[in-house]
Amino acid sequence: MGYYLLTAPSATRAQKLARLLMQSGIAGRVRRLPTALSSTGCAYAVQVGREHFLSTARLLHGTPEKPRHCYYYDGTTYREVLL
Amino acid sequence: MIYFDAAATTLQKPAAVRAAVERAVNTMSSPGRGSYRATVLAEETAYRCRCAAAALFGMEDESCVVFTHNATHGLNIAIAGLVKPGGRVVITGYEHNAVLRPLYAIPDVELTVLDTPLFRPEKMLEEFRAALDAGVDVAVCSHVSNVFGAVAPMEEMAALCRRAGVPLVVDASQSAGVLDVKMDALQAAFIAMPGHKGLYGPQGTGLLLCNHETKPLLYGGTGSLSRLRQMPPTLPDRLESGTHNMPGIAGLLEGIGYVRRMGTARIARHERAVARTAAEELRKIEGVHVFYRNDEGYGTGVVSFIADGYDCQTLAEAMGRRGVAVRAGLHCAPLAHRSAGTEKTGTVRLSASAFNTNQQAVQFAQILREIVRN
Repeated sequence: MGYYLLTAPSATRAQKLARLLMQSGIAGRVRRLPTALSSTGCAYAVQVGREHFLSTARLLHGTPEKPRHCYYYDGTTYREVLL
Repeated sequence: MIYFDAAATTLQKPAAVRAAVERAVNTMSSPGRGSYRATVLAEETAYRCRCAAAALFGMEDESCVVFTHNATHGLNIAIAGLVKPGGRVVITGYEHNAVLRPLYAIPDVELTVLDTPLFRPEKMLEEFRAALDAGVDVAVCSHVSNVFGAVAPMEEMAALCRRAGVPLVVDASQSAGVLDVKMDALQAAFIAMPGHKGLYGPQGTGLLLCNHETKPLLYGGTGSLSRLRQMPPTLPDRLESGTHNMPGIAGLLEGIGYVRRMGTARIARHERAVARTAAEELRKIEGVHVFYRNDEGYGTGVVSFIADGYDCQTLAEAMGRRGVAVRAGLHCAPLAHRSAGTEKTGTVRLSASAFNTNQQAVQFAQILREIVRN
């Protein structure tokens, strides 16, 4: 039910992030970031399932692709979490 | 028609390019501007095109592949970003106006122009080294002359720039898709190229490969970070404002795919063979003077020539009436003609693509022979 949103500043950066995840077998969907989550206006995110959170965190740790923000959606609200 | 004007635009495109353009017109909206199918498809296509270009040109980060309208657009971004008023710039003697005019537009730029005779890459390198030693801020160099097909020793020039800490802008208008153009090997600041020549994409497409900070040339919407008053700080959005040319990009993706499948070495071999045939046949015609050197590392699929007693434009018109497409005049490169000593006459230029044949080169010479005989 729940999922994570990894933020990206542009569509291209989001696609690059999704591609990186895909190469490690993690399915991610590029989508627009909900307006309420972006202080700078339109932005992008890669949505990954709850089951992929740990492997995503491990993969992106210390890389330039690590997103600035990560949000968890529990079915009703978003809250920022540390990746 | 015998089309020998690939240095301007490759008119014959792979069938997949034409199909992709049509498909994009019918199915793709603005990339990065929404969540519905047509915009997502556009976004995915644009991204695939960046990845294909990154793979072909040795770019580690596909985000640094920026879409432009043509090579001129990319060169303007690179030059305006790097060259300051009063700056010292070294260029080859074979630059196109796409390099010259943006430089002339910047106040008080001190230009060092390499005075190299045609097809003398070792001399060009020597002069380039001397110019760097004398002190320059930026180097802007065309990889291949659009008039003569003469190849500059770009790898060595790039190495000298790296050693001297001078940012290098490469105009790859005539080399992209034909020669090895690799950012990871050259480590240039920028490489600019059109999509509609050696990459077999449609007109209105181009790429700027970025390896250096720069400022935007155009300001506007990017579909991202909309509350910022400035352009977004990250590539490619920083340099791509306004709606993308999706039919062009979709076609370019297929064009790049064609080049990758064929391989640049094979394409170059083929174009050289056609040009060599044309040059050999042309040399048999009395009064025709050919500017061509066919060995690898010196020339490409371009042959320039003049004919005694004929104005080059008149000659090209006569060939046009017989169904042969060539370009004549100064080819937007007056400096190149000055360097080669053809500034007063101009030349007629034949330029081959992967779709030309040796038979066409022979026919071309036969038609020219008939014209000059009468």
